[in-house]
Amino acid sequence: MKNVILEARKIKKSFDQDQVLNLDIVKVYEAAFNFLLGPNGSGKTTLLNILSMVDTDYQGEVFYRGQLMGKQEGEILEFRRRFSVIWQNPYLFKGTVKANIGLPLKFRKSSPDIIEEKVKKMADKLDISHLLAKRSGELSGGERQKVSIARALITEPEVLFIDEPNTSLDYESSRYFNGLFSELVADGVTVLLITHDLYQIQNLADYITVLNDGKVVNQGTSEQVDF
Amino acid sequence: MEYIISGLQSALMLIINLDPEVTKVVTTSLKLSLTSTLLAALFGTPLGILFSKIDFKGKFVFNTVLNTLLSLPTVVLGLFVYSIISRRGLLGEWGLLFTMKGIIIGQVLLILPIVMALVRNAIHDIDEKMYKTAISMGATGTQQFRLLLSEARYGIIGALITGFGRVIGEVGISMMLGGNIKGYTRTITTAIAMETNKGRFSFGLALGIILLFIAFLINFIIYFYQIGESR
Amino acid sequence: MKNRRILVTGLLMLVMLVSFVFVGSAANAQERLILATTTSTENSGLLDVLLPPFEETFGVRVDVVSVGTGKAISIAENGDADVILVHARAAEDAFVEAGYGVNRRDVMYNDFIILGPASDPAGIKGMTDAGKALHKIAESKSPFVSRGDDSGTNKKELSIWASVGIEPSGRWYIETGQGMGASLNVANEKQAYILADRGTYLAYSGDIDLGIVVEGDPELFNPYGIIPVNPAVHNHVNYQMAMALVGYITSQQGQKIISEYTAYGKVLFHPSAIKPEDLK
Repeated sequence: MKNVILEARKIKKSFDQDQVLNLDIVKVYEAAFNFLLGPNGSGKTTLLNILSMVDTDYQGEVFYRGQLMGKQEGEILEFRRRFSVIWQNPYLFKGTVKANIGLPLKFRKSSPDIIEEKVKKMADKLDISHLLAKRSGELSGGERQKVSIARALITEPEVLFIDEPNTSLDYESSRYFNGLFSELVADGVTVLLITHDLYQIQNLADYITVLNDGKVVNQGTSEQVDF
Repeated sequence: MEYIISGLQSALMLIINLDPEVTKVVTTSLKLSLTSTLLAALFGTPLGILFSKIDFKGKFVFNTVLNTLLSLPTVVLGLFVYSIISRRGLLGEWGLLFTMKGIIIGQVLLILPIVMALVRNAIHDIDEKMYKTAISMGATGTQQFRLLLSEARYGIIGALITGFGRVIGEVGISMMLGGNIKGYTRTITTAIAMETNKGRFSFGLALGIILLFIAFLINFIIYFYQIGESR
Repeated sequence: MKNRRILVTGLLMLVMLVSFVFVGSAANAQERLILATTTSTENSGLLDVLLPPFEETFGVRVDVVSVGTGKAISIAENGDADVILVHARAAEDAFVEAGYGVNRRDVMYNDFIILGPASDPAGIKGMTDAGKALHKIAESKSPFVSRGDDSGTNKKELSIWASVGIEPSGRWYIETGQGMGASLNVANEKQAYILADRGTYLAYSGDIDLGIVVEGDPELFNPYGIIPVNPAVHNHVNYQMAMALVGYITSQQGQKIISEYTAYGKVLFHPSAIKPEDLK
């Protein structure tokens, strides 16, 4: 059994009058593939937002390695910067691909030289060096997703949140990224992934949490959970 | 037709000879319009952003008022400001009537709603995902704000250029608050109004052509900026 | 591409900044005197030769705000001008009577004329009695354009109608509510009669077909007066300089400039503070 890196307790979240989440306990295990499954509208993305500290407007508590993640401005930032999120429909900022990939490092006040070097390395690794000089508006859907993945990985996050990344990737690319994510997990990175892709679930999942109607209906290792 | 040809001819002559009277009104117009636009930008941009970001009771009323102010006739606004800065008005002691400052006050008030509304729209048009993405990338509040400005920059610049176009072409405020004083507050538009009244149609038309040329330049700059819009 | 855009942005910012500083410092550098006058006065071009010697002698900048006579007087009543130069005797007297103005002086006069189309439907060409001429226009219901803008010219027109006991109305009587130039254009388009000041008519004579049908009636003389705003009512006004202007304009020097001023080859104004024969 691996260490728990994130643990959410008694999470409640409402939009207007509708309660969309009402969870007892959700655990995310370190250096493993954690899958978040469930039908559309079951609250998966909402939970991802909360765990990744993108959304701090909720009731309940989330612990990082046993430490309560506070909702004060300074604390939020400290935790957020250990995480990265790959969104389903990535948003790229106006400007070049290069600027987009380097932006998270710029936020962390890295020097321009280091940013330049890291961006180059990351682009080489993901085989998108030819895109660096392009402007973000010129990219295809698949290219956008690749750039957003490079942008998420550039900070070497401890926890990588991924929200259905394969919708805009071709078969070959998605196979490639599955391999890449596996390498990351092997290197000790925690991945929390929302997907409907059976192949991914069957081949990658270490732990699975199944949501339905805002509640956890099943949770455990991939062997335990009947999805 | 005859007017247009002779107007074009005299416009060319006036420009080629750098006619001092023409140069003076053109620089006055540019000075006023640029200053008014700068001031409107200084106040209107933050207000527009604030206004698109915050929610409050009766916001829709405010929105409707703001949209209504977009079509405020310059003479009405001119009259309003006149009544305030006249010696008999609230701010009469400051002696602002028939000065550049008086015109600037009126022009800033004229385009403040325009700048606010267009900046509001520019900010509003930004995808909600932008914020989530910036947050997930670990941006501080200030960094998020800077990113927001950068994403909306074409819209904001467009708003300012629209404001500039409005003030450089308006005549009501400049006339009422500036008094069309020769060598001081006479602008391109008030000069056109006066020259027309005097019967010097071709001179008025020449100034009109110069104004059009400036407007063309402005639009050229807008186009220049919007090339980058989609990227 | 990107660099160029940054350059343009930078340039724009710079121009804005410079202009801002410029405007801030350029204003109010010099003592100013605000003269409210009528559009026809400024349009005549007289002030361009009359004022500069005064400005030089006294080191003052005269800012001329030209509007209709009614507006000029109300600007002065509000204390927004230091001195007025207008032509509407009754309104001027009322202005002084009410205490807003002091020390009115006669400056000069020019004259009004009645213009009409060559067809002369009212048959008034060559008449020298303006009242009788207007009477015939009304009788024949010939089209007549009035400025209807409370200007000095408009007031004069109404006073002539009143002198012959006519209250003009009907489809033949067209009120434009606009300045002299615009009204002349309307009269030209409608081939109507119109009362105009000679200066504006001369400026327009090349562009319109209307000709002079009535002139020379003393009733049509158009006297100009200069009145400083009373400092006892508006204590901020530049009364000293206003009186200096009155002194200058009614002096030998000022009156001589007025008598010698011509436009379109014709004398436009006749000095009235000093008799022409006494000007040397």
